[in-house]
Amino acid sequence: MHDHVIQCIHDPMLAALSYLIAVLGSYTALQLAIGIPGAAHSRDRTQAIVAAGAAMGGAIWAMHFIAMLACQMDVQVTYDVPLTLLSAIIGMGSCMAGLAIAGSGVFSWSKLGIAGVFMGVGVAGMHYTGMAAMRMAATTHYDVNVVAVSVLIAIVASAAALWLAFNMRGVAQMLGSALVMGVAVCGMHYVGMSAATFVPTSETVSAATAGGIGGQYLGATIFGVTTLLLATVLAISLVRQQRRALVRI
Amino acid sequence: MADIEFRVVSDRREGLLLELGRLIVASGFTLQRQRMTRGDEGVVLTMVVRGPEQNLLALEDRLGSHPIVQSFEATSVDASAAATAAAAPPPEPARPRTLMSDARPETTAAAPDPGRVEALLGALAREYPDVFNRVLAFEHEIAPAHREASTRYAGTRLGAWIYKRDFTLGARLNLSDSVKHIALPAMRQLLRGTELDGEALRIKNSPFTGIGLHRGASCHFLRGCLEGLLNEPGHLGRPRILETSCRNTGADACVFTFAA
Repeated sequence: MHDHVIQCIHDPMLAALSYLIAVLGSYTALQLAIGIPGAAHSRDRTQAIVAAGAAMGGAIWAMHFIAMLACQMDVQVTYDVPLTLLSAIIGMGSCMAGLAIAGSGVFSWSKLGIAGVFMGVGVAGMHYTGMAAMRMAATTHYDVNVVAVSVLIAIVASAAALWLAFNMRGVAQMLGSALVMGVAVCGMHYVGMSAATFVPTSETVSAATAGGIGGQYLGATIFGVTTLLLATVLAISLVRQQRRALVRI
Repeated sequence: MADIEFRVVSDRREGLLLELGRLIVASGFTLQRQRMTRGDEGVVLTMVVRGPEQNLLALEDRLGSHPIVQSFEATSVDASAAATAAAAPPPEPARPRTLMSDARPETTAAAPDPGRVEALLGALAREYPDVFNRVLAFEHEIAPAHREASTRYAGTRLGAWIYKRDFTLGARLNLSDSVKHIALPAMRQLLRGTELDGEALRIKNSPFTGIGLHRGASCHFLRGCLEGLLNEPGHLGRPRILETSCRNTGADACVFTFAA
């Protein structure tokens, strides 16, 4: 045990907001993803996979950093830019792979399992890379068992969300899948945070945080990502409404 | 022989004419002329085809279930007017009339009446999901020889339309999951008393029973709807759908079974 550890106390309002962002992003991503099986051309299919994966990865990223802003610690924190960007790329890439697998051919449990693993690993990979991007006068230690549980939550809940999104139709498909995917993202994050212990070092604050960007810059980026997600939801909704009206009997 | 004008809407231009041309030839028709334009709704291919009347429904069915066809409309074209139009430049604008025309050749006894069905379909789309009064009136009005085939065909077209509107998004499901996640909710939009009974669908309150028009199983429209819903995705082939019991013959519910 460490003599003195830095506590992370979550602001409940920001924590709730992080779940909302996760659900909004999941809704956007899964609405894009369910168009993958019906894509007429490989180009359309690729576009749908990239858009859905980017939305999902963006949502996980935005959720993570809102939750990090919610985490009030008695130490100054900045974020390493390359690692922060890498965390977003990991989330997006894994989600693209997972959604491409889930959306190919006739639905099967084996595909769902593999897709769930990709999505879950994407969520976890984004989180732990994002955590590694933290610059502060402290080191982070993890309880490996709790980390394993956090990854398992991400995989199982992602698979459940994919099953709802691809297998169901109607409200369960649209809202149920987004709410469950929100649980996957937030469940993984907050369990992952409970696995972390922050132990102060003797390093000076200025040396430890040098080269990183502060939370205020992240806030602006999160705002941008969220606005983009909302705009995408609106565009999807309008396009689908228009297409539905054009279907002739 | 019948001359029919098809107006097909698709989201792709490449290969559209080639694919549909093959389908037309495979159905025993020949392509007389065609025109392709791009409109707000997508790529619009207008084709005039000529072929045996009895193959028309099969062709419509193939067009309706083709993955690159988003929607289509069929109207009969007066052959002599079409020939004149083709011969005399500048061409006369086509004067299509719907297949309801009295001049349309007689269909065979067991075949649906496509003209009357086309006329019904517009009303069904407008009034969906409250379609049963309209379908029941149609059943009463149509000649007995065409009744079963016509109501079933109308159901097929409505089912395919519902699928395209509400159920296209998502994974390709196997037959069992398609019944559970597509046919069941779609039929519940039409009839609340629809339940899943193992692998079968059970309908307690079919409006087509006890109306004195049929002697045996009577829910041909509902059977057609299920066919349209399950045929439209394309990857299931043509599942066989049977009404294995019907309230019209004394059963306590109408039961539909499905086989690949």
